[in-house]
Amino acid sequence: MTFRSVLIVLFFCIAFSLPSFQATALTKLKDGEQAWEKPPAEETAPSGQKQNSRNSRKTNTKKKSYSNKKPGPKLLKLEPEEPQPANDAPSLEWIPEVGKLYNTLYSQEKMSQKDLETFLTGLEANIGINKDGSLDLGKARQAQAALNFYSEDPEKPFSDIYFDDKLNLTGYNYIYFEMCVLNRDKQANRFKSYFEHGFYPNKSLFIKEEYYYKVLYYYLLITQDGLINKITHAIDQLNKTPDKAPAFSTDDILTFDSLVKVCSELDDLRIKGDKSHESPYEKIFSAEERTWLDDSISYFTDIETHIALFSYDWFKANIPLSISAQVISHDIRESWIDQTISHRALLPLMLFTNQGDLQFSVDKLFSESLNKLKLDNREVDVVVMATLKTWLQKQVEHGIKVEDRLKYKDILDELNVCPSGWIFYNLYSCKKPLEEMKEFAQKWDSYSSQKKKELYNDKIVYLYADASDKINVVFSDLEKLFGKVQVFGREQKSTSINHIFHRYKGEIGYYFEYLQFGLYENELASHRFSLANSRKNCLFDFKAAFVKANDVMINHKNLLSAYTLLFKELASQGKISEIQKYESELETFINSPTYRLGSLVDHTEDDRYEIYRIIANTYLSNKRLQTRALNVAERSYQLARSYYSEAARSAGYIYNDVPGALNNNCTEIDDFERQYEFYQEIALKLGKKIWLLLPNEDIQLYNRLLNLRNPEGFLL
Amino acid sequence: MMRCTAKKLFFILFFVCLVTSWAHADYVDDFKKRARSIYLLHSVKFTARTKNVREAADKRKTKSHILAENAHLGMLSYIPSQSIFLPFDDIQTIVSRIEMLTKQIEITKEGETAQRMKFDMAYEYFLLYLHYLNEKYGLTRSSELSMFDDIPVTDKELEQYLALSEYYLKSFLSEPSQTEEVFVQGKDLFKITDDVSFPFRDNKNVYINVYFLAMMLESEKLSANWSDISMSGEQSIQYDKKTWNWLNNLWKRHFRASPGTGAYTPEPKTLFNLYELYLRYHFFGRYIRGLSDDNDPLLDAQTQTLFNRLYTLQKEARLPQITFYKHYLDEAKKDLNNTSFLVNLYLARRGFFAAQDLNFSIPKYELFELYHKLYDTAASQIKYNIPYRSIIYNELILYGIGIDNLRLMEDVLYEYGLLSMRLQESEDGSDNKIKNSSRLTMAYLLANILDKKRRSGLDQNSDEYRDIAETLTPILITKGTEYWEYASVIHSALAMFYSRKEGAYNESLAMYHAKRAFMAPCEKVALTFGKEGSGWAKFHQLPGAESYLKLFLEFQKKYQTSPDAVMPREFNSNLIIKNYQSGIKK
Repeated sequence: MTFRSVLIVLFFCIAFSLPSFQATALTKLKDGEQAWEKPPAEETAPSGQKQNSRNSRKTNTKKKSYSNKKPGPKLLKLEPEEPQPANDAPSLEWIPEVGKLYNTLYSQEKMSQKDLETFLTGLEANIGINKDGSLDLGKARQAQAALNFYSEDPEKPFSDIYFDDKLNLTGYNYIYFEMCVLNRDKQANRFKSYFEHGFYPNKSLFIKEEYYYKVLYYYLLITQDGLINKITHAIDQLNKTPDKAPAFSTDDILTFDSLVKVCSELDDLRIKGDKSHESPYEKIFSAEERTWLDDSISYFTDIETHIALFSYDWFKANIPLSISAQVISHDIRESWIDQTISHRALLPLMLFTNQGDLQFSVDKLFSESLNKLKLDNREVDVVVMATLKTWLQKQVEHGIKVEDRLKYKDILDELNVCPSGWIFYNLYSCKKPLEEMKEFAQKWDSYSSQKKKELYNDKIVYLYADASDKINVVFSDLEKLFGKVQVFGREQKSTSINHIFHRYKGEIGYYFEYLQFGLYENELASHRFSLANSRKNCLFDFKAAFVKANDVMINHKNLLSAYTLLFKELASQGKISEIQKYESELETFINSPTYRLGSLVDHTEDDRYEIYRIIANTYLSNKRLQTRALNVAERSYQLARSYYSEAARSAGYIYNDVPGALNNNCTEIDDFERQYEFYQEIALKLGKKIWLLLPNEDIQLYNRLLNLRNPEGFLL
Repeated sequence: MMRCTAKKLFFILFFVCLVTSWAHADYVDDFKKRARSIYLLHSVKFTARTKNVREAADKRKTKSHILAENAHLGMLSYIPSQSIFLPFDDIQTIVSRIEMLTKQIEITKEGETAQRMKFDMAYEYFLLYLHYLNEKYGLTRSSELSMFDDIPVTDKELEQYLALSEYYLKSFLSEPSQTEEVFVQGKDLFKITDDVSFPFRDNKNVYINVYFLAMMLESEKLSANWSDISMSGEQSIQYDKKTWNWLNNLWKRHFRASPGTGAYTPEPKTLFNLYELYLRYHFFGRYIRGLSDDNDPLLDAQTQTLFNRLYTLQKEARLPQITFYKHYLDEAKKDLNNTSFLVNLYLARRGFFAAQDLNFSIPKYELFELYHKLYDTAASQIKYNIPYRSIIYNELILYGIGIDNLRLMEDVLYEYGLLSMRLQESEDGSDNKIKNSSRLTMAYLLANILDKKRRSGLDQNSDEYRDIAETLTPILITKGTEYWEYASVIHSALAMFYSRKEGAYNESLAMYHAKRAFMAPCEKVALTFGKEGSGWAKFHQLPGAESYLKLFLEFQKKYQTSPDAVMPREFNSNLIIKNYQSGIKK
């Protein structure tokens, strides 16, 4: 059947030939373009010529004559109703019709609106554009098939237009858009509505070639100014009346969406060609067009534009997140491609080294990516965090310096527990003020009280405010996900918030308290409440962190530091009953077989000596609690002894579990002596003799150690 | 008995492992498996410990003879600084060179330049491997890293670098199977096609043969058990032999009157460095392949030649540590012509250097265990000159004492001391020097054990050492040496041990040892300055001698009934006491 219909068509084709027509059509296409006043009209010379020559070559070889069998208007009437010669052969008649009409439109000095309307509606009917702008896929495919069929047909009727060796759907869509652009005063809406609802959402249907990108370009041309005006207008409105919804319709949002996507697609095209000699981007667009396009692209794909827009609540609430995600992922892909291209053949190890102009530093990339998380946009998060994880993982595995590998491993660990990018962004940015506070805390004791006050008022307060704002954001987000951290008196309900977050929150609170504590010294009681008074404080956070991960050394250290501060405060305020309460809590942590607080801490960093000293001294002042003071002192002594015997064991000075006196450089000896003396002192105050309290071995050990220290000692 | 010692040591180590964290135990396991080349072959950087140093209250009196002893040991344990051919510390250079080469290799056509680049690439990847191996398992860690930090360098990564190095090197190496027969003929072993050398890091004056790199590569692979090592043993022997032939040629060219052939003739210093690097990997290779016990006279001859040439070149280029290779040259002749024991000994001696005050990533006793085995093997490889084993044991003991671990000294080293002395018993008068050395080492060990037991209070079983102390005392006091102090230390420690026990018998023993401790310096003075005249007055100039005098006087008062409490007359001791007491009265 197909064969028969082909024959019929062929017959028509051969019957009439009109070779001169084709050439005119081509020149007209070219002339018409040149006639345009607007910059888009420039067709780049090389491509035009190339196309021209190719087409003319083709005509020469074919030497066929064509004619228009039917006039335009008739076609329109016939096309929908007229039964086709054969059901499965696509109707081809409209192709030369369209070509003819297109040609006519160009040849006219001033396009007649009637012809234009005929041309556009005719094309709409044939390539499947519905009234509302959506694309009838069935029709579109039929048109595609018809065009294929037509172009492969050696004896086709003459059509007036050729885009390439093949006639295709993209090309026919292009002429449709082209005509709209030429008459954009009236046809802009037609263009927009089809592009946004039909053409662009179905872009997979179209071949990504010159005409496709030109269509994208026309779209930018036709919508950009209007959209920018609308946005400016909406922002003005929002500035005046923030609560009222601005005049920014869903259609505008759709336009914005499409525009961003089109821009990133064009940007991809631009990047793709950047490195090669023949850039398709340069081939398709003229220099003037390119400058105009570059501006638009950089405006719409710039993250700052989006951040600015999202600073308005209305936009944040109404614009779909996917639009910005598009930008971010586009941006990330870009920098990633940049890197892989320039280091294509190298090991990942070499990814981030300096080499002349190609400089990639992880820090830079990292902070850039981190900045993108500011958007607080789920879809962006997914993209950025995935990329960050890849980068960090690469650093951990292939970083050049081992120190860097460790550093990035820590960050990666933190990133892995962050449920959203916004949380990570805030967690990361609270690090800097926290570090500064830590630095102050280190030198705090060396400052005069005057300087402390100045620093506190000028710097520390702000650092704290900054850090705590950020960590509060983190926690408010986390609580949305995991539920609120509830505190019942001294207990708190466990949530699945990771210990890292608690640690940071605790540290921020702790250092602030610590610095404040140093400020008031003696007048502490009158100036501030103790840690124990507030319900949520660093102690709670450290406890939460410790309970969740007691296999992490820093958690032991932090909790002990917080207890030290707490006991110091309580002691200076004379709150003995509170001390008793917290002491038993501390002991529970220390003795509990699951927690074993302090077991991971190095003996030089163990704060328990200080805690015990504070507690014991406070108890000593109270008659009723004096025996308890002795207990505490003993605990402190036993702690030092256990560290000491560990040291003696590893040095080989041990016999049947009894440690001998060490005579080398180790600080465990100092601690042992100090704690022994402390115990002795407390015992003495209570009228007890140390040698009645401790086994003989320990007394001897102490004396020996003392002897070894004495340079005048016998036979040393 | 040896077995028992090993068991004890194992027990200690096992216990220690239990105490320390499991993560650490894992690290040590990995260390033992992968890091052999690091602790046996490559240089150990000396980093003085600065943090957490407690001012030593015990200003140990410096004993001149100990210093001399240490100087000798220091010489033996001398580790030449990292070979100039293995600059693996500078990671930036390595990485940037790899980057540069990777780029250029792509655009360079096959040819001489491309060949050179391939070799460079292989070399740089080899260095990269060494760098990260050292980062992970180096004996010293940078101070920022704590013991618990798991260093993120994976085994896979290390293996990959080595594989890359091998990949680039492969094309230069001939198939091993083809050259099998050629070895037997010896003469044709080094074919002209094997002489493929490239400049080292574009330095036109320094060339390295591809087989040299191949030898190092295979040794590293074998030592750390990377990937497929089924062929490595065989191959490393072959590459080693080819390298030796290349070096041999260089040597001949070096001494030819007119090199004029245009062939590569390195400067003496460069040649020395090449030989030295070869020595390290040659010995290391022999060690990791596990030498069979049958002697290979060729290998022995080669070893001797090697030391001889090193010594010659060292002299010629006027390089430091001139005695080092001379000593090895002498030592190579000690056991007839057998030199296999030198392999283990050479590697074991690095332990001395490593055990000095370093920031360790693994504890010192574990470090000792690593080198301990090497000493043991070295001693057992001595076949003809059995007494020479004592020298090795003595060295081991001195090394162990430096670790300052009482359990180690008592449980392990003491057994070695006994072994070393027993070896000398059977051979009468064969080598008095060795015999003496054994006894002195034992005395030094004993003095250390007893003194440390006394100080630390762990002297529950000090009396076990009494008999041997008695037998050693006479040889310690001589005219020319300062060993009397060992005797004094031993006896004073015993005296104090007995004084703390109950019973008349113990009291008399305490007095007896106090007297012996005092008599030792007296006798020393009498021997040195003569019994007549005022030579005795020099007693007060002997460092530390007066403390033994004080001890004696104190015990004299305490145990008046003891027969040894009688005022002594030997060696003018009465004069010394009188002089001392009058000095106090004034």
